[in-house]
Amino acid sequence: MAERRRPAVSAALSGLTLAALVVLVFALPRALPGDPLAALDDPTSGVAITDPELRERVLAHYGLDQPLPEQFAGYVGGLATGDLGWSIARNAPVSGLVAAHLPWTLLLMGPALLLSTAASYVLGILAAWHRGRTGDRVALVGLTALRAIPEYVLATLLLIAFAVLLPVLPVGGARTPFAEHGSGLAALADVGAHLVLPLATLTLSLTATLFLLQRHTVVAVLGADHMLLAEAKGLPLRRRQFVHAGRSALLPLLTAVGLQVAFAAQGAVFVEAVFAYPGMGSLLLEAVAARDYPVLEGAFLVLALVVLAVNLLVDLAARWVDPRSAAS
Amino acid sequence: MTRPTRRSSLAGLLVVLVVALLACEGAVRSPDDDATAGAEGARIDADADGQAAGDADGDDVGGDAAPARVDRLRLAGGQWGSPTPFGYVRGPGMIKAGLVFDTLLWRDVDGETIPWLAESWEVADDGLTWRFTLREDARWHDGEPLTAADVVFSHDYIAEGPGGAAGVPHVGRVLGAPIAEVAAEDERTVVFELEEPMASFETDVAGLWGMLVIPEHVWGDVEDPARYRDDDAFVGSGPYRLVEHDEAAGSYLFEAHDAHVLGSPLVGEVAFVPVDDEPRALARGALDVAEVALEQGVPEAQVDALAADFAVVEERGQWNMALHTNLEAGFPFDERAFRQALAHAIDRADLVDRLLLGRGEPGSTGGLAPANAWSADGLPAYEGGPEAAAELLDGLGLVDADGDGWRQLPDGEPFAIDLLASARYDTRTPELVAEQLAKVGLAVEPDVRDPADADERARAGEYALALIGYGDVGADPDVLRLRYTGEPQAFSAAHGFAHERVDELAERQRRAVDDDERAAALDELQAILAEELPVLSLYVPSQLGFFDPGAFDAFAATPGCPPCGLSRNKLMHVTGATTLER
Amino acid sequence: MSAHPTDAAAPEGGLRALWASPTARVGLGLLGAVALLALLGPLLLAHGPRELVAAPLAPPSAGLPLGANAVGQDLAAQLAAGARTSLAVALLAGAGTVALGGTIGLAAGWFGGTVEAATMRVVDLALVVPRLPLLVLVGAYLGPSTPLIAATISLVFWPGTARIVRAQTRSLRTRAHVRASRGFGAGARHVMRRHLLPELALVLAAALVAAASRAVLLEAGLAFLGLGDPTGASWGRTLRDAIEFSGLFYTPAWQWWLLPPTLAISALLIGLTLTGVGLEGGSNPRTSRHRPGATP
Repeated sequence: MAERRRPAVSAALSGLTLAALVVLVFALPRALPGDPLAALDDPTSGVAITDPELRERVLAHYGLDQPLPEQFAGYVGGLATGDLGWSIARNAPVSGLVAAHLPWTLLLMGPALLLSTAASYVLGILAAWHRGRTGDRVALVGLTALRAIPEYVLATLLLIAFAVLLPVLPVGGARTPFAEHGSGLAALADVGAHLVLPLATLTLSLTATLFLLQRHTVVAVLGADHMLLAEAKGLPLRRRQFVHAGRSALLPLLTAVGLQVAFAAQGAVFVEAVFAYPGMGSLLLEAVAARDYPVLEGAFLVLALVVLAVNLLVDLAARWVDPRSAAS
Repeated sequence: MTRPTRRSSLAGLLVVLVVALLACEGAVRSPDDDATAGAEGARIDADADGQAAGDADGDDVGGDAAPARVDRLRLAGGQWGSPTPFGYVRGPGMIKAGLVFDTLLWRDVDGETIPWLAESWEVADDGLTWRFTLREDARWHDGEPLTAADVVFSHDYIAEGPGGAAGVPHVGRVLGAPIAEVAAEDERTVVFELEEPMASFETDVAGLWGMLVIPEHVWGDVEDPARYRDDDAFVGSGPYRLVEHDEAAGSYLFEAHDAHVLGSPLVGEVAFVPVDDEPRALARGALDVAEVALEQGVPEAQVDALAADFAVVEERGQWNMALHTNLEAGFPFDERAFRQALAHAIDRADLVDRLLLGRGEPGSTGGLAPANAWSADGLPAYEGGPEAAAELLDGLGLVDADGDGWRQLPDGEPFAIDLLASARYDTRTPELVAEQLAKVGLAVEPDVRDPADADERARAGEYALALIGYGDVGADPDVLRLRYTGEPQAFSAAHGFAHERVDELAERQRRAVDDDERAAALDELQAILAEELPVLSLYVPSQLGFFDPGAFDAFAATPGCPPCGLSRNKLMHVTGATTLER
Repeated sequence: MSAHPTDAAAPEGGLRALWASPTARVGLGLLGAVALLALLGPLLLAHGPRELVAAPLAPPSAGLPLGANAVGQDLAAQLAAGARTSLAVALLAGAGTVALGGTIGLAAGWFGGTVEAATMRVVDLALVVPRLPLLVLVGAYLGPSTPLIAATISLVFWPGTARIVRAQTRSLRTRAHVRASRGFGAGARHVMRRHLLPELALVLAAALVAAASRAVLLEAGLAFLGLGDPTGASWGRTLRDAIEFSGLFYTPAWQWWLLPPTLAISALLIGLTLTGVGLEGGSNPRTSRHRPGATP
């Protein structure tokens, strides 16, 4: 692997990636048509900034009256000191917004990714092994059908089923507002109850995607030499299934999981929207709609760093799983 | 929980639709029949999980019984910033800041201006001097006395200090007012001297949309007010104090400030709870009142189902969807006959029936909501249909010469234009409008863009025809001046419309010292607008709400205050009534 | 594929095997049904998707096989028009993603070294690029038309495909038989065609199916968020209208408003997936020879 031999080159490339990212999150929002100060207008109430002089003052307040290079310098300077700026549409510090939204996203994404990876690993191997049999067909058709339902429809149906028709779970949010819980455990249970439906939706749809990939790749390695060898050696079935076949198929699965992080991070937008879950997805979507440059810059950068970090972990895991791919 | 509710002549504004004939246990509240609502409501238990411990014990026998204290009222929340005078966001944020900070005057649900921090006020005959007398014993939450000097400071902090750079609504109103000077005559008397009379002064400076009064001893040395979030930033004089705010979730909890100058508020806690779908949350017991979103058609089946368990309140709306024609786009948009033809061709009653499922009304051609007290009567409604439209279009030379079913411009060029619309609203509206215009041979293609893009194009006038939604048609009629005169500044401004008489009348109504003079100017102004039609108000959705009358039952819309909705005028929370006895 | 005799065999065998597989036949059947709906639907139906032809929420009847939505538009007409949008997005975005991602991933995996490092950095960057603003950006600039949405989806999805293809290529490259071929002095082109492409065909087919399915879902999702083509008919838009109609589940209208587009999306995606599954048998002869399920 190139990175191993030339750490300097690798570091330079990583630095370059980061730098490009910083430029991108600055430039991309500003390339969008639309006016960030329009976020202060309120069509529903009929309120708008109608005074040109006030407009100038507010622009100056947010530093948007300066030429782009100076705005960029201010942005990079802020980053260096850990200051992500001030949201125009939410009238709050971006770092505070990220700190308030990110934990909910991690709480939703982390378990969803782990659960779906584990489920699809096991199900994928079993289905491939019993390819063509009833179990495989049921899993294939079932999960394909599941994956074939848009997340927001699935979320809506689950919501109607378990929060409206059979009202056992909360209709939305991440916790009951202002509830006074007797103990920490009760508060935890409250958070858990709110997490069930969003987590189920996301896990189901991630599992469906990963399962198909896992099944595909296990099918592909079943005929490989080491599998034939393992069978010839008379190794136990479970060992052949989950160690030999599974290990070979783990590499593509891990790659796919790495990809799912980025998708889940923003794909959760739908789930968050239906369940009014206060994660990063809703923060970003609103920021896009409002052209809230500071939030877009700050939140995208944080999210991008999270995705980069997870991908790095996946890369390391892939090297550990398949040392041959790193040895050449 | 009934009490006599004073209804002024504006009571006609409050229309409640009764849908509970079949719903035996349902309670339907009607402004003409409050006693029934109270009695019915008393039979309904407070909501399921017992969180809203509204007093539902049915012991309220007569209108004279003192309203019982409501422990907690749960309303729909959202991310509207921090409820400090400069940290809130847009109209709904202003409502929340308004719980903590008071204005001199306020407004009841009849649209009447009522005393608030000021116990009385007077305006000189020339309309230039406004004198307010503050209530005795007005105090800040920290116990410091609230004086006329604080009021003066509140104004100067915006007009001359750092407050003017905050992009919150009340700052814009104060800066836009022709105020020469604000001075304290004594501890309790404050005088505003104007450069010219301002008819909307009570609303835009002293009242509902006006200046939040802030304590000088806190803000005196604050340089960056929007970002000031210390504990002191939440010290106001209002009836509530902020207890908890979850920025990410959009939840707020306010508790009553018992030492408020108007007395201990009736509602002990006002909680704003984030929900996705208000009627659904109400049905689950997570809210005490659910307001139906704008443009949301509500089928009878849903109203019936909800009316079985909840009371229904429906009032005429304050928001409209309007068709703007940019006169700068040239022929035929600059032709009055063309704009009138559009008005004939678009069946606005059909739009109400389809988009709102009948819960709303066609807009007034004069530019104000039909329910606005200032809305003129007897304006043309342009109900001539396709025939009348065709006649006008033919007269302009817009004819279908080649017989393909579509009209061409007089020079034979095809007439095909885009209809700008925002994806913020129902995207079927432009489709319906295009379909109706197709019936008279006008080829119009919806051009729906994402909200920020559409707003920017609307503001800049980059359109020939645009559908624009806004909620100021129920507001003070000075909005007509902002919309139709001067350089267009807001997304809701008319483009390319210049009319000397309109300019004159707009100025006259703005400076009118008495209501009759103002009404005369506004009637003529609206008559001209209804004739010229640079903007055609298409429809105004009703404000529809469902609530648990056992928890609280004083819900009503406040004219000129869309963010007040049916449940967020703080007057209701303070007194439990929809008006303030003077 | 070129006319080279050795590589012509793989795809032909693939197609034959594809048709031989019952799974694939079901998949192709579903795809065919959606295609028929897209091609013939608008011709057979009396109304356009925008026309106001009935009372709000009118139930299905002879002239209106799927009833009407809340404003009285023909939902069958919307379903047929939406089929065109979804199929077009699936084809265009799927092909675009595989062409872009497959080429880049193959190059990176095959050449390794600096080429790989550099391309993977680009991939890393592309993977963390904020996608939503990218889609909004293109949509707002160019007008959100179906081909542009498909192109944007390709731009968004290629890095994922590139990664998978790179990983697979790298793995295959190190396998014994490839090493052996190279050891015997076989040219790179030969090794790529004879060994890599047939084995990669599976991965590419899977990627195509995945990209097409995702594109269909993403298009529907964008429409749901109001970021799609707001004036064109699409299944996602019909779904959005339905879900945003808060009274949906209080009336029977959800049966003809919410269900048909959901089922249509499902049919298309299941069709794609089953076709992809069927491809396995044809493109990997060794798995069809060796059926582990058959051994105890």
